[in-house]
Amino acid sequence: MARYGMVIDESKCVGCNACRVACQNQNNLAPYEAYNHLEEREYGAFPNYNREFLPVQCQHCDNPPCVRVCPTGASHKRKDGVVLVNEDKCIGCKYCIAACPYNVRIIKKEGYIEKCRFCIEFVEKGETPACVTTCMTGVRMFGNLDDPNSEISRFITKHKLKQFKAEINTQPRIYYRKA
Amino acid sequence: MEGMIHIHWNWIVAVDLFAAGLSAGAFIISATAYFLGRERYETITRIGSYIAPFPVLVGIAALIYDLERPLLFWKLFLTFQPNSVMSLGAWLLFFFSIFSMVHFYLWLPEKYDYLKLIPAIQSNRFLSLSRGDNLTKIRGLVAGFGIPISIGVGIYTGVLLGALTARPFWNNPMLPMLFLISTMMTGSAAICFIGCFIKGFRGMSREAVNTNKFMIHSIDFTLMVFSIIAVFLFVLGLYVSPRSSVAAVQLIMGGEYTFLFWFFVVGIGIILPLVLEVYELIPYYIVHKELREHNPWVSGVITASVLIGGFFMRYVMIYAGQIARIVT
Repeated sequence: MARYGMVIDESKCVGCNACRVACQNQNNLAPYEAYNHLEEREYGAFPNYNREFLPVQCQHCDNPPCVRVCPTGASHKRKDGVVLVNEDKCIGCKYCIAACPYNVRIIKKEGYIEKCRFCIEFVEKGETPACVTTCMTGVRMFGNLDDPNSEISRFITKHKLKQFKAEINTQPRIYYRKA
Repeated sequence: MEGMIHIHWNWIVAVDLFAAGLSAGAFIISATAYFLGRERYETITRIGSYIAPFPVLVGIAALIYDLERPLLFWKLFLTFQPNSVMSLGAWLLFFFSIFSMVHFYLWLPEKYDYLKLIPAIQSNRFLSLSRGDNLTKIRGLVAGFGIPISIGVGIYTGVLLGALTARPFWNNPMLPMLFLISTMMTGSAAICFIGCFIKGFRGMSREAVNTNKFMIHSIDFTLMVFSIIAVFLFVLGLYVSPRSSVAAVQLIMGGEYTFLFWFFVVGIGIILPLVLEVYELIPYYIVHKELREHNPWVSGVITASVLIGGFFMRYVMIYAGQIARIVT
């Protein structure tokens, strides 16, 4: 069984938002809806001043708070680690939105909650998610964490990577390389 | 999108938490008074049983209305998710509604017993058990099993918020305690309010008025002291936690919700009624005089301010909790 994960190399991100638009195209989202967004931070003092971009999307946590709090079992974690929402079971209580520390869940106009799905239909056919293929600087890397020879596994062993808001024990599946 | 704050739970959820808490509190006080003195505190038990079933219905209606898909709310009852506080809460509210309804029915005066009008029910062996000699026993059973369920409802409203590690303002062990104490305070205030202003004292001896009034004011006084401690420990607990919580506590210590919290929740909800309680109780406690003549104004101000403070507590908690987030 594959164990999907992602690496995001913050140092390469230029903040073009192409990943967001690609995701909106892929998932038929309205312009105001997005499964991923960029968090922008400015640091330093003039003239040693810089900006950094942090692409944030569902982290597909191994200890997902959204799955734990869901009262109907709509939010669930698949065997391959992808966290999904079953739209038939979702009643729209918004408890998972309150429980998610990453602020990545949105309410669809049909009334259920949705979020990044790791483009699972694509991935099952052997392709990569839309945000990965579209990125012009190659910020994102997607692959099987269980395969020691995959590109992503080798990258993770070689570099020092961090997880976002790991201190609250969500155990995210997305690894960040800090700028 | 970036760094924007979305309030997904608004005041409707605050209404739900307040109303469910009010009902649970009324049930707890009513059932406890039943066990403390079946005849002595009958008025408290009776009024509590009349209050308990109704605010919770408003609360459930508010909860369902707040869903994005209100028509699918029944899916909550097709499953049981022991890890989800909301699932536990839905089942607790379900059983609490049944218990409070039965409690209400058992304390109705005979003449309002409309179920008797239906002959099939009148001849039903099971339902007729609840009248006559068995009444005391059944009242006791319902009150006894109802107490843990209503305490559960009172705690659930706090744990619902407190269980989320992602929200530093909520993720504090003192929050459920604060909610439980506020639950019982609002419950006893509602009983006092109904007793003083709607039921009135007709047909009660002065002795009975004083006993019941002393009881309800003593309960209130004790709870207020504990709620001051709970507020203190809540704020202290946020200050001595990691920096996300320290950033979160700024919301009520100088930030957006400072006035609402310290004036409405603490000032009107706890300090003002506490001062008036002391004014009512001191002659009885220390000087051991009879309670002064019933003064509707004092009781009215106490109960109204406790209820206002209780609602604003939920309101501030709901909004401030969603604004505060993890600092990285």
